[in-house]
Amino acid sequence: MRSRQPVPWFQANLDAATQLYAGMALLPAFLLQESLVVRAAQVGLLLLLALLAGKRIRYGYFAIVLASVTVFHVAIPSGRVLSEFGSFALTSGALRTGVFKGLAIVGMVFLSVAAVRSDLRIPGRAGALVARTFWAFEFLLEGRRRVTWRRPMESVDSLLSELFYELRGSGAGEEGGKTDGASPNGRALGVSRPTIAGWVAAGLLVGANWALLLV
Amino acid sequence: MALLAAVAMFCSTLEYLIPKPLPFFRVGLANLPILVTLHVLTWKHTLVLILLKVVGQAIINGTLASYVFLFSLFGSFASGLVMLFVHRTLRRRVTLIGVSLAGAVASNAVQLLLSIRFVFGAPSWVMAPPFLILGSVAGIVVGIVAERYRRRSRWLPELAHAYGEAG
Repeated sequence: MRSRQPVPWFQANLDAATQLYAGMALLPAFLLQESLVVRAAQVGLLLLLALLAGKRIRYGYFAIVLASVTVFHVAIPSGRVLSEFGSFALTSGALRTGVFKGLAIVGMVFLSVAAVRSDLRIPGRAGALVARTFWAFEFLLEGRRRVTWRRPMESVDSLLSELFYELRGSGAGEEGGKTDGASPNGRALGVSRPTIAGWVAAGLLVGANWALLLV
Repeated sequence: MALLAAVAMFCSTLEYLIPKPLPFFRVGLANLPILVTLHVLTWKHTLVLILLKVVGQAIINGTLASYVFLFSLFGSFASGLVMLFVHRTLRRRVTLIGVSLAGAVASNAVQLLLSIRFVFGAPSWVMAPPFLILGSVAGIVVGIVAERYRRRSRWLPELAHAYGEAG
């Protein structure tokens, strides 16, 4: 999901750590949201942020995630019956829960994709651990398509082995790691300095999402 | 540690997609990285991994600011301590299936007691048998997956070697 040219807006206007902190500040506001309509709007916003961060989005995949989570939850009836198909009852509570959780998953992936950059460096051991964890999580999210149902153990093992060597070899997000404007797998990235526009945009995004909790 | 925490977060994401027939019930997929590295990590690092797993789960499930987080915290640490104890004391006699089952029973028992004491009250004893049975079945399934993965993995020995080198 990484782009190469041109430099994404956020990368040009915010440093990687501020972008991560803004994402982390926004996350609770997203997760604490109880309105389905507002959450749907937030997911749209997070999609826009992911695109502004220069990431490529596979819309079909996310549509399938949303649909499958909804279908799974609809199987457990809850609330008012909306419609009946033989012995199966489509209930409002189950449908709402399914869509709500599906949107949560999709939104979190968008947020993770938007907030985490490969050139991320946070000072201190805890910061390094957080950065490396988020980086590894994004790596797994991107690599999940390589896990096959025919050989699940072997494909997972291969993916983890690759991630292990990426982390060992690069010192991704690690204090003193070889990052110097390069991603953990060696691709060159534009080194950015935060601008006023970047700070204002990050502040507005975080503030607006927290304000939506009052809706 | 970051890799294992990320795997726990990834498993939590998968688990989030599974509908829950009972409140607080979890399959325990996020325990997989803990189970398969019990023979690799020190007990201190295992506890740090459990903490990272609980926080990661709370972030994924959106329960960081709720009492569910505390239930998960206590349940996970109870499970982790029991798994460590069983693994360290009965290492040669118990596979990861037994370790996982013991951990699942401990976690579910603690969460059940907390929910009865602080949330639902005495009537929720009705929930106890299905909760413990489902939790035990899930624990066995997770244990089977962990045992098979540990036997087949080519990466785990490399991790153990690197971990040994580091310290």
